[in-house]
Amino acid sequence: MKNLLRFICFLLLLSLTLCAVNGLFGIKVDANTRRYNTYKALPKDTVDVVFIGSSSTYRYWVPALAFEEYGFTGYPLSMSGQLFVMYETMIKEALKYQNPDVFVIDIRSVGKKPENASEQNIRATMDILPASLDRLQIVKKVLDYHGNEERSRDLSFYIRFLLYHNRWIEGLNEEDWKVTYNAHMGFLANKSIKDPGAYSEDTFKLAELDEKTADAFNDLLDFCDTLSQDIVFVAAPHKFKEKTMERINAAFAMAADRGYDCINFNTEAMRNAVGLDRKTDFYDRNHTNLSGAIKYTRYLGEYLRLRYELPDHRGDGLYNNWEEAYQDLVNYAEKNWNDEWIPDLLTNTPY
Amino acid sequence: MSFISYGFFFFFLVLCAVYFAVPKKFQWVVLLLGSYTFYLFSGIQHIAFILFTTLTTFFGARWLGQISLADKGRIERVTSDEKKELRAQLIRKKKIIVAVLLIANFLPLMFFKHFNAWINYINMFLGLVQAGTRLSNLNLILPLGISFFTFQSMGYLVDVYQEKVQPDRHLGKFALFVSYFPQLLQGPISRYDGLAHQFDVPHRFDYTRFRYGAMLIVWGFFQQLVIADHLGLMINMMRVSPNGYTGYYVLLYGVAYSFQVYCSFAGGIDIARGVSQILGIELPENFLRPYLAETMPDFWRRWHVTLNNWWRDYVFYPLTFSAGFVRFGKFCRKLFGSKLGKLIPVYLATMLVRVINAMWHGASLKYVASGFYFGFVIIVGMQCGPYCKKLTEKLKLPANSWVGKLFRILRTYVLVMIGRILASANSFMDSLRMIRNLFRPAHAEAQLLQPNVIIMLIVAILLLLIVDVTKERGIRIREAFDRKNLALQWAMLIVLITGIAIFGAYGPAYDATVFIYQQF
Repeated sequence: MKNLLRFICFLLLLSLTLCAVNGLFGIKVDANTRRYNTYKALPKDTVDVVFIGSSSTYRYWVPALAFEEYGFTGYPLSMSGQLFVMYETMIKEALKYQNPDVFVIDIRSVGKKPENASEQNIRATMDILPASLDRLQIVKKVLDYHGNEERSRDLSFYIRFLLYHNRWIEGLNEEDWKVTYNAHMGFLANKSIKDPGAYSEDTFKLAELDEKTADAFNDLLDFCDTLSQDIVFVAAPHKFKEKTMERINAAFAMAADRGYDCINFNTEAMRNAVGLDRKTDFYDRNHTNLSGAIKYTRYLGEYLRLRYELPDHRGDGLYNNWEEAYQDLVNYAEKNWNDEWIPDLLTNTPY
Repeated sequence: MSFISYGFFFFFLVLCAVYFAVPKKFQWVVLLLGSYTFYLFSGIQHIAFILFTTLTTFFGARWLGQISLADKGRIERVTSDEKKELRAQLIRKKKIIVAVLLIANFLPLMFFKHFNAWINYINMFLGLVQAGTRLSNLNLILPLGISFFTFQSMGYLVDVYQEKVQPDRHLGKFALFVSYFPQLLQGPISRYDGLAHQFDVPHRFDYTRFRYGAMLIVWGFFQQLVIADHLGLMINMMRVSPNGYTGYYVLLYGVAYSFQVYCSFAGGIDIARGVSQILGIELPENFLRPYLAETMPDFWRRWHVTLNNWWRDYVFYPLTFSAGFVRFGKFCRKLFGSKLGKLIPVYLATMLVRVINAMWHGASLKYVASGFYFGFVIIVGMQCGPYCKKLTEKLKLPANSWVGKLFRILRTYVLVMIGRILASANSFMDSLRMIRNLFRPAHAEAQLLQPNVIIMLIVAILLLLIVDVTKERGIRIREAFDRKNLALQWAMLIVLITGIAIFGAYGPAYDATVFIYQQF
């Protein structure tokens, strides 16, 4: 019995050490981790809207600007290339720290067929989540949906250390040893400008979703039905492919059938309403730059404020960090776009 | 199933649980079922080979035993003149049986190892004589452990023939002796009298034995994952481009390969011995600090000990004591005088054993060349040894000081390393190119290892050498470790295990780990 106890104690100590090492070696010095860490560090129940999605969220929604202009707090708890099958877990993750009024869910990733998900798409989200049952659930879910024979054998999806333990070869740096944050409340600005070319023609056709996608999206809707929050499904503007948009349209139709609020920004009318100019507002075919993001935020922010009667926290000391984030953003814009129109766009509200 | 796989970990956990839970008299059944399950993971198509060896050896040995018993009865009843005749008949009969069984069992091994190489040689010859036809290679996959179970079984057969051991009467337990899973992948090659009786003894779970076994497994993982596999990355780069690296880079290759092959093989054996020790079954040591050997014969007494003992007992001794060799010795003594004449048959047998040993790795010319090289170095050493000793005494060199010892260790190591370069390249011609490139100005076509990996490897190899030197001084590491206080023991173990977890070459970023000797 004494030996058994000793052995168990040894195993516990070893496990603790390995967990610590696992945390140290995990990929965390990137924008996704900073965004996640910042969200976790916000004072409890101070976020009114949580945006779930991929770069179609954090490249588009400028939280500090929305706070400055509308007074409510909206945070993009989104990861690059995140796939819609991960959304349920991310919403659960969001609810662990905040109790928002609204979830805005970007469903552009429905356009991606199950077999087209890249390793980066799959790992980006799950690798930053701490070890928990929810993480196990997300891995299983993603591998069921996007997996193949090789992926199903790869235990590193479950234990990320198996993949990242060799980071010592490149060398750990100072940031590996501390928690890092996003200064712009999750927003990731891009300063370059690239005309993605003429938009595709509007399409309102609905693709016939494959059974896997339809089931997975229905599961997400089922989960949303259980939530007390309001849900808005959106698809941020980008230069889409017709087939992809047909899949997204089909998902919108399924959500609308259940009575959810849906906004597809990928029509000429919506782009005009937002005021997007493809010559100045994008940095590639799939993402807006800061200029485009400001326009998108203003439109969607106004919509959310009016439609969901979100509170105004401006002047409340608890929300000082949001004001600081806005000042940071202005400084950032002035530093990076000195003598250009973007700082003006940011600071001069049209409303 | 590789030792370094989640599958093996799970398999061993289940096996241990069942093994220690069943009534002790059925433990061997659990091991037999476990061994065959382990074997089946390599593919059901190969099961026929291990069954063939098991059945032919078991019944062959029983037959030999029965012949000995029956003829002994007959010999006792006849006159002394007839006894001699009967004995000669008996030996002839037994010899034929053993010879047939040896051929039948070694033939598949030779076929799998050598067939394609010989086809290549024939095609080369056909090319030289400008013949239009070419023979095709076969897609052969070496059955798991065929070398090791064949050698082990044939050793038993010869032991029965020489009446060193009694033939086994229990087919199940004999099948376990042949197929015992920890030694299937790469040995060690156990002797019947050392292993089989351990299956009859009941084994209770023993915590100390478990700890010792687990430590050996951890050390095996360290050697394989931390040292061998990282060196392997560099070696593979250099191997595919033998002209891309010259000067001291070739020397670096030789050092790296010599440590890779040692750590991979010794690491695998340590894991096998550790696994077996947890089950209560002791397997023989296979490496006795070979790179601390002071002479080449000493090196071969320390390297792959069980295989080299096998060559010694079943090839070298029978060969040197055979009637033909005795006659050859007499002939040599007449021709070269008694001193050299006595040694020539020994030299010949030594050369033969080294070449056969090298060809056991494969029929490629590089192996044959390395066999001749090692045989040649041993013979030169034996021949020049006395002169060197005299010279050392005359020059009053400090032969017995640590400097002298270090010199001999380094000299032996360098000689071994050259042999390793010969055998390690993709082909014999590549081996020669590498050795030629050793004498060219240093150049590397690509960076071999990142700086952090080099530092890690230096530290790891130093640790390995410290452990080897400590063992060489007669200190039993695990017992010495046991005498430390518990906190220090745990701290050291946790550091070692965590070190393996961090610095080991495993996971999706690396290729699947393969022990080098598994392919032989």
